[in-house]
This record gives sequence, C-alpha cells and structure tokens, in this order.
Amino acid sequence: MPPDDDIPVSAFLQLYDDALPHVYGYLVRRCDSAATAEDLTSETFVAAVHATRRGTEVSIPWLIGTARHKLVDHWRRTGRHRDALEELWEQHEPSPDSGDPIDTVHVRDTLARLTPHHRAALVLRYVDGLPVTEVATLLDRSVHATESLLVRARAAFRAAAGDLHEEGGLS
Amino acid sequence: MTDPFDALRADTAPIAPSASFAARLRTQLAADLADAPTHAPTPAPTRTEPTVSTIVPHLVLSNATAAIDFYVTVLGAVEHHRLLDGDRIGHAELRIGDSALYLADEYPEYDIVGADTLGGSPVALMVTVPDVDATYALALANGATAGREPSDEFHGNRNAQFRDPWGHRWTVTMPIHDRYRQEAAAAGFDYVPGADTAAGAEHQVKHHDLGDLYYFTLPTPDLTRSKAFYGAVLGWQFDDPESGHASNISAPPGGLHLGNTQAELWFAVPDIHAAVALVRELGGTATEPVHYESGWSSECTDDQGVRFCLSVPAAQYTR
Repeated sequence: MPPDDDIPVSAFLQLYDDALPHVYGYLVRRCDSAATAEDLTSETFVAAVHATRRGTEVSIPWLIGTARHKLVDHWRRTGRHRDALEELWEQHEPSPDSGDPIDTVHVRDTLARLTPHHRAALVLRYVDGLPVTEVATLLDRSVHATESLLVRARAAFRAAAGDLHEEGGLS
Repeated sequence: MTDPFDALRADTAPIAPSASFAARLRTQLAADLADAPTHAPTPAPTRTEPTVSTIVPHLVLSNATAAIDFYVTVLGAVEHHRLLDGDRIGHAELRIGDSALYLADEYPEYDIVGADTLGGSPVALMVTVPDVDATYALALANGATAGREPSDEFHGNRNAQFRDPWGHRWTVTMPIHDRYRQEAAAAGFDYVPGADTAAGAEHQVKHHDLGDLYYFTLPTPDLTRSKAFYGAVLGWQFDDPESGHASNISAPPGGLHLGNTQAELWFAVPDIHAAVALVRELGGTATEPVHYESGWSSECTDDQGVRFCLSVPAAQYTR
C-alpha cells in the first residue's frame, strides 16, 4: 500500500482488538506497574498508526517487537543517571553463577528491585529468551559488555531474591 | 546443560487490560487514523475505572443520537450503553474521563425538553481536558457556538467556553502549566516550572494533615551552593534570590526514634537509584539504597557534608 493513502480504519481497529491483550500481556509481565504497561501499550499502538501511514504492514509480531523497543527506551530513561556508576562496576566481575535453582514465584518483585540496566538485561535474555547478540543490539552494547552485564545482573538478581526472602516475601 | 535463569521465561498467554483503558485507546487510535481535524484530544488513557459520582449530570437533548457523536468526537467520551425507545433514546450513559454523563432525547409529553427548546441553559458543565485550545477548535469545527475563547485565568487554569449544537454550555479547562509542559515537550525540552510562573503559587497550596512535616530548615555554610545542589537533586525552586525558602516542597509524615539525637529529614524522589547517582555525581555521598516496607531509602550528605535522606515512599503511604 503506498503511503498517504486512506488507512483502512476498520482493519486497523480489528487488529487492535485482536492484538491488544498480546501487547498488554507482554508489557504488563515486564513492567513494575500496570500504569507503565498501559503507557507503553499506548505508545506501541500510536507507533503502529504511524507505521501503517508509512505503508508498513503491522502484525502482532511487529507490535511485540515495537513494545520491546518501547520497554528498552523506558528502562533507558529511568536508568540514564546510572551510566557513570555502571562504568565503575564494569571494573570487577562477580564469580560465576552458582547454578542453584531460582525462585520463580517472586520474579517480578525481584526484578523490580534491580537497576534498570540489570532488569533490562535479564528480561530480554531470560524472560523474553533472546540470544545475547540480540540483547546486545537492543541495549546498544557490545556482545562482550552485554555478557558481563548479564553476569552482574544475575548476581544482583540472586542478591535481591535473598533480601526478599529474608524480609519474609512481599505482602 | 540447563541454566537456572531459564526458569524466568515468561508465559505468553494474552492478558486483557481494563475495559476502560482498552476503550479509550481504541477511541484515540480511531481519531489518530482519521484525517485532521477530527483528531480528538481525548484524555490520556487512564486506569481509573469510571465510577458514578454523587452528582451525575443528566442532559436532555433535541437530538441525543447526534449529541453522543459530538461528545465522543469533541470530549473523548466513551459510550457505555443506550436504551432505545422507538426512534428516541430513552436513556444513554457516556463516560468522560473518570465521570459519568447521562442523557436522553426530549419527552415533551412529560414536559422534558432540551436547552435549545427552552432557548438556553443557565448551567455550564466543566470538563478537564488535556488541551483546551484543541478541544475548543474541535467543538467549533463540529457545530458548537463560540463562547469564551481560550484564555489563561488568574486561578491558574486555562479555560474556554462553547455552546454545543443542542444548547448546552460547556467550560473546558486545564492547568496553565500543562500547556507549557506540552509545548516544551513538543519542542524536545524538559519543562521545569520557574518561580515566576503560576506554578510557584500552585506549589504553595498543600494538603496538610495534623502531624505532617510542614516545614524544616537545613543548616548551610553557603546558601548559594545549597540552592544549586538541592535545585539539581530535588528540583527545589527558590522564589527570592536572597532567601533559602523553597516554594515547592510537599509534606511527608514522620516518626520518633529512640536514641537518635539528630533530626533526619526524608525527601521524596521518583527513582532512588537515579537520585543517589546524581547526589554522588554532584559531590555528595549516599548509602546504597535499601528497600523497606515503607519504601526505598538512602542516607546522604550533600556536597558540603550536611546530612539528609532520600526516599521513594511505598504506595500504601502515598496520598
């Protein structure tokens, strides 16, 4: 479809109705609040309107990919002041992961306690199941930097899970 | 070989958001898809479930069907349902933002008639919208009669008034601040309100309960440095260059701690990690943030060694 043509409104709204629970479901599982998930859902569909105008064929996989980018942008915004600190942490690397099973009940609460960078790395790599190369592209880092970020993020996740456990879980 | 972190892999089952959010976003997208100027400046999608408030306006209209279209297009209303009585609407319910609006066609046989039949209405309905100018223009484009043009009012709001095609008067309003914020955002800037705008006055109006920390003083050897530091970290505004009085402080609760001889003051920030990093960057110190039931906390000193603390209040303690 060439750009600037009339957009088939009903077709787009049909896609919206079908795709909304997928997009929202993807985001709400990865955000620390439903309000953030709703904001990012709105941003994703507004981007879809623009893409449709430009002649892009928008599908559910396209929307999920866009939602993932919106999520990364969101983490980047919340984490922007930490960059200097991150650089310091690059200096030392914690020991390799113990390999012990992890608590899957409080995943979201645990992730919510991490820095945005650690959260981003773990969500993209493990919650989304993306390969490290793709995580690196999304986070705009080298593969090596992403690997060492993942090592630190895993250690931070275990530490946060331990804290959570000591506090007796969440209400 | 298995990786224990693979257990984090998320379920992909769809989750429906709240019906009100879904409906609002749908309305907004439908407007975005259509050509200008039907771009309805609908209120941003919110999680607020519409509730019936103590008072609900109930409008009588000489053409309720057309009026519903007008309210949907101009005010971002969402139709909840309508009850048809032959070719008349006996009752319809719309949601605008967090409010309900009831309406019906005229029933002259019961002496129930609309504003245009009566020759006018003494009542104005006030609606908070995200962009007064856009709503006003959209109203006129959809057949409304001009009332008061959009203007900034002394009370800190930007208001406009129009009469809809069925004779009802509407006042649309927004905080003046939101307009500047929108313009700044459109130009790619972060808007930080200054003390010389209506914002200064806005920040002075606070809700205080008995026992809230209402005011405080921090000792400082150098007022100018302190103002620069707290202006950067906490966004404080100082309306008088000679004084250290900050005009935009809100009121946290407090507590007593046995054996502590020093006053400790906690100031709210939205992101503890970002704030701690900023404190350190500006030459202050901050302990690693700790998460308590009451929220996040970090104990800090500013760049001159004066103690203060930062907190992200837990949801249950935030009004």
